[in-house]
Formats: sequence, C-alpha cells, structure tokens
Amino acid sequence: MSAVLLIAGDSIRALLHQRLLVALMLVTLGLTVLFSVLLTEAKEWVAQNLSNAGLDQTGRLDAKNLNQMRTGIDMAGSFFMAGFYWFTALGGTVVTLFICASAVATDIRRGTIRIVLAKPVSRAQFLLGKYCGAVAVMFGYSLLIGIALVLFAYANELNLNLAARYAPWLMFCHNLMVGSVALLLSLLIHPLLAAVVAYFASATFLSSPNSLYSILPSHDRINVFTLIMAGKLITPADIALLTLYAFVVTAIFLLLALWRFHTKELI
Amino acid sequence: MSVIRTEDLGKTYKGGTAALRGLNLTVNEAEVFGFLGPNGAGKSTTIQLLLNFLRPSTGKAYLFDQPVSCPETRSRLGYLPESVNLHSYYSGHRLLELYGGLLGIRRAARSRQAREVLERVGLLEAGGQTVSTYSKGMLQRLGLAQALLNDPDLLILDEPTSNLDPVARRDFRDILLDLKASGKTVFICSHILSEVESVCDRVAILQQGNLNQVGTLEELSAARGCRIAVGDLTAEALEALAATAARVALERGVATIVCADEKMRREVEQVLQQNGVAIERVEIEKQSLEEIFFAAIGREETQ
Repeated sequence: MSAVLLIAGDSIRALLHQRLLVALMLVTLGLTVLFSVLLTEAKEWVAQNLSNAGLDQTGRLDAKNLNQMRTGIDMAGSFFMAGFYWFTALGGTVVTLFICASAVATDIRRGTIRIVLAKPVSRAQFLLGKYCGAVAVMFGYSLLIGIALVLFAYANELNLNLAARYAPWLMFCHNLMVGSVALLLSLLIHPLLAAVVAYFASATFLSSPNSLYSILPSHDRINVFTLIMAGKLITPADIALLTLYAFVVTAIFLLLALWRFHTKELI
Repeated sequence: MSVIRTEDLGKTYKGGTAALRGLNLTVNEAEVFGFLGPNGAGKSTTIQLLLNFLRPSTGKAYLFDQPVSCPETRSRLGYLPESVNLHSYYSGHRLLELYGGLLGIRRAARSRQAREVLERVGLLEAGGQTVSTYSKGMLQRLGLAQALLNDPDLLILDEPTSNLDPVARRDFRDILLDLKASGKTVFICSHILSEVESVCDRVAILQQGNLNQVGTLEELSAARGCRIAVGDLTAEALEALAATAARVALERGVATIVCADEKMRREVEQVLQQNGVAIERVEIEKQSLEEIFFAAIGREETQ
C-alpha cells in the first residue's frame, strides 16, 4: 500500500511540475467569470425584450408577462449553467485523458519505470499508484468545479437543482471510467491514439447514438448535461446507482489494464 | 546459494529475432562477475530478463533461488541501467528518499541513508540541486547512489562507467572493490574490458545470443594455450611430438613446446612422460581480457 501511495504522490508531483493544475484552476476561474458576465448580459436582454413587448396600457408589466420574463431568465440561467458545466467537464475529460493515457506510457518511454520496477514494487502496485495519482487530480478538479458552480449560481441568484448539485461528483465518476479506459488503451496502442479512442468511448457529450458504442463502452448513463439543461431533477437513488455503475465499469477496466500490464514487455 | 541462476534461458523477439539462446549461467555469492559481448550479443536482454522486464521465450531465471517474477527478490538488489533516466523534478536527495520508500526503508532512516550514499558517490554537496540540472556524469553517480541505497546483496550494473570521466571511473572502481571486499555480488556488463579485468572474479562472453565462454581469467587463459619448457629432447621424443599438433621451438636456448589448448597440453605431457623427458616449467599463456574477448568472438584479425 505504501508503494502505491508513494507512486501516486510522485504522479501528482509530476503533474504539478507540468503546471497543469495551476493552468486548470485559472481556466476554471476564467470560465466562471466569463459565464457570469454572459449570464448578466442575457438576463438584461431577456428583461428588455419582454418589457418592451409586454407592457400593459398603464405602462406596467402584467402578471402574464412577468411570469414569462421569469421563465425566460430561468431558462437563460439553466442554459448558461449547462454551458459552464459543459466546458469545465470537457476540460476535466481532456485532462483525465491526458493524465491517464500518459501515466504509464511516459514512464516506459522515458525509461524511469526501469529503476522503479527494479525495486520491490510489483507491476500492479505501479499501475494502481499511477491511477490513484490521476484520481486524486481528477477529484481535486471536480471539487474545484463544484466550488465554481456554487459561486456561479450564488453570484447569479440561480437555484441549483439536484442534477447541477451532483454534477461535479458525476463528472468525477465519469472521469474515473474514461481514465480507466484510456489507461488500458495506452498499454495497447500509442497514448495519443488511446486518448482519442477513449474520448469517443465516452458518450457524455455525444447524445446521438454512435456505432462505435457497439464495441466501445458507452458512458451515456452519466450524462447529466442534458439533465441540467432541461432543469430536470434526479433523485439521490439515481446518483447512487450511477456511482455504482461508474465504480463497476472502472474496476473492470482497471482489472483488464492490470492483466495487460502484467504481461507487457518493457522494451 | 546461487545469487543468479539461469536455466536454458532464451528470448526470441516478435519477428523471430533470437536475442538469447539457452543460457545456463550461475553467479555465486560474493562474486564479481563480468558479462561481456559485442553489441547485439544478448547482454541487455539477459539483464532485462533477470529484472523481469521481459518474459523469457524458453527457460527460467532465478535471483537468490527465487523466480525473478517475485518482487521480494528485488529488495536485495541494486540496479544501474545503461541509460540513467531519473525523475528530473526532484532534488537528488529527495529522489533517493522516494526510492528509499519504495525499497521499504523506514521514513526515519531514509534521509540518513540518502545522505550516506550521496557522500559515497561524491554528490553530497549537489544533493539539494534539482536532478534536471545534473550533468551526465552526475546523473550516472546518482544512478549508482540509488542502486546502493538499500545496501544490496546483488548489484546489477549495465555499462556503469559509460558517462564518467577518468577520475569518476577510478572512484567507481574503488566503490566496486569496496563492495567486493564486503562480500557483495556484482554482475557487471561493460565494454571497458580493462575495467572488468581489474575487478572481476569470473567473466562470461556472450556472442550472438550464445554463451561462448565462462570462467576465471586464468581458466580462460589456460584454454587458450601454454608453453612447456623441457630439458633435453631425445630424437624419439621429437618424433613422438611431431604426431601431436604442438610446435617445438628453441626459445632463449631452452627447448619449448607451444600448445594451443588444454587438450594438446595433456597429449604433450603424456608424450614427454612416456619418453622420459623432464618438464622444467609450464607457462600458461597470460592473455589479457581483451585478447580472450577478441579470440572468443572470432575477431583475432582486429587486434
């Protein structure tokens, strides 16, 4: 266990060395500001249009127009919330793919793996350590998104529905699966190709059915983007089921990756 | 107990290239063993099989009488690869602490042991510097430091002095001699034959994946031939010697029979005994390791 934690710590340190996490935080903050500004502009635009069209004879908004205006503003809020989530989740997926596809492959390419595996460290410990390091980074990123999402909603006086509230957690679960797929594929094919294939194996941002998913694992069950967009509620039971689904899929792909890494020759 | 043992160990890569064929080798405790061969002879493949980086196509390999796939064997092992690639974002000292953790060294002892090995390889002052700022020679020293970190019973060194200057080479040889004196086993793969010759108890010469020769330098020399100085040679003895392939010469006024190998030597000694000729002196041809090496790989013409 200690070896796994040491290798995980080393992976995180390597990522910090690449200034990746700092860049991620800046991007997230930038997106929060951008979407806040856009939402404020949209609110004003909706209010202006409705008020121009819906003034009664006395020059005041009637009850019907007032409701329409509120609905319009809520819709704009949901739209921007979904957009914000979409961008940050996409960023999270890209980062996950980058980290997981290169986790072991980079060490093999650079030759640093040889010195580590010449120590009493099993290949399983090495692989799990690398994956745990990636998971820690993914978790940190999801936490960051969660905080940004709350700040975004608070700043714009938006109500967080259940889907939006759990979106960072579901994004983390989604990244667990995508990461495990990328890790497995990187042991079979070139890491860049592995990242691309693993991205298309993730159905989160592709709502239309894709023939690829007859052979690749589809993660469409964890697509909360459309739920946020539609302002639909999902129950805590759904969240639990989705979490379980993600953990099972991740475990299967990690086992396959362990088997592949165990038999792989480190030339 | 053997420290390294291979049984019919072979490796054929995808595409059918046979890098190693049926290697049977035993390296004993407290032995400094030189592993030689031209490029492509299968040396690196052997090391990678011993470290379980590659899977053998045939046979088995053991470290400390346990299969090489057993991670525990590596807690008694130190390995210095040919190309020392280390995590460049650590300081030398911090990197050794990380490796110490992987070796199972207790947290409290890691820093002390890291300092000790840094001092041993002459890097104590540079221990706080980031590895990315190290020169090639410093990296090689740091590589050696990590290999010595757990005071290993077996040290596997792949071209250990390739990036070192003459001073560092001498320091390195001193470290090897220290290890030898303290009863450690060292398996060294090097192209610098004089270096191997100065420290190794036994050598093995590999050629095209086959084990060509193995033994002490004396044993390998004896196999190459000897000179037998004798007293008066009778006509009968000369006639009998003519039947062997040995060459008779007069060297500094002494009749000398030059034998090409051990078999010929035995034949000649028998002939001399039968003819009552006294053997005054037997001089085993002392070849340098370089001569043995080139003879073994069939490149005498390059000498």
